[in-house]
Amino acid sequence: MKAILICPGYRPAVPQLLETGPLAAAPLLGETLLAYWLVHLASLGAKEVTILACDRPGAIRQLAGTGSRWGLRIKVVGEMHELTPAEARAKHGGGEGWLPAPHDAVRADCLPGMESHPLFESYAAWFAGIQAWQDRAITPDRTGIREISPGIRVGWQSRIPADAVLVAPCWIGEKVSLGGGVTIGPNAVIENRAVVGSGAEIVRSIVGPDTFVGDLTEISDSLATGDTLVNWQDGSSLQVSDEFLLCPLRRPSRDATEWFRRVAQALTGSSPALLPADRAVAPHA
Amino acid sequence: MKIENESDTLRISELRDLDEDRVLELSRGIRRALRPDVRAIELDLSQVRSIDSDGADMLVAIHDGVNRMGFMPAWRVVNPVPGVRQFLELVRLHRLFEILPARNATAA
Repeated sequence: MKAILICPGYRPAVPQLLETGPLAAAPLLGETLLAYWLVHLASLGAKEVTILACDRPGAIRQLAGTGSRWGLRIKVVGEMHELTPAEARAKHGGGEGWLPAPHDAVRADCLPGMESHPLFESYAAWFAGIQAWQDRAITPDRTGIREISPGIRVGWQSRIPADAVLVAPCWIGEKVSLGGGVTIGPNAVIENRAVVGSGAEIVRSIVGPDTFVGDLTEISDSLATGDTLVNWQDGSSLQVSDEFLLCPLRRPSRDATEWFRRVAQALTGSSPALLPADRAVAPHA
Repeated sequence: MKIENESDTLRISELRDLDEDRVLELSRGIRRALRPDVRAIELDLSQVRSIDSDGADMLVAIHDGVNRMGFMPAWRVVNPVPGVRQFLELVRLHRLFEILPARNATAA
């Protein structure tokens, strides 16, 4: 069976989520939106998936690989703009062997089966969607995450001191290091490889992967990724200049393939390409 | 920078930076203006565009200096821009300084 998966392009309400990569590749409880959709399509019986990506298709290609991880054959197609499911069917569909509609062409702007929680309408929607997904995030292909008490999930190789206060619901990813006396939760997510310093308090917030949160800090109602703090309630953001308070543990590498693609497009005049791909499809932004 | 006494509140406004010179000036100004009946000190940070750990350190120094003089007023930060508010919350200064979204909110 075949299916088309449409990756979301630019969404003006959540610019910070686009900083590190395309939205479908944004970290989400140790996985990505793309991975959750591929698991879902595989569970529906799909064997071939065409992924349409208008924003940084190179990053999507790298993430999806051949699809063997999900038992799929995957083809990633770069598009100049985000197609609707109907446009995608018309352009890439045809022939036999498709999943029944609407699963034959789906847009990944929510988590599978959670159409009532569109993720990219605001930071609050993103936060709410992730909270709602915690119970379903341990998909059949995942190992290593365990529920140590009701509503408290912890990934493998994470270090949790005896005096840490974990308040459900909360999610602590893989290889996370928590300092003594931390308070995590309620409604907190610490993504993979994050380090939270002693005495810090993380409440109603998400700490991104590879992010350092300093001793005694307090993060509430926020998305903390690298050195950026976004208040998901009002959308305000802050870049923290003090590395002992909040900083990335790994600098994102530039996608050289993507850079060459944009330069090539600029030279051939095929698109307003030296702008980031997301800007290129949303000139009003 | 403007420092004025209004009833039992000492209001500090037109603060633009929280650098060392400004904070020394602010500290001296507060000491001069403090009266025994002052119950609250209100810092209007609406014109401060950004703050870092040095700025936060200076706010704490002013707070501690006044308290060491024997005054124990309530401290308020009024109308900070979102980034400044976020930073104050990150370093937990909202536990020391009540953060009010707008100056007239003190009446509420």
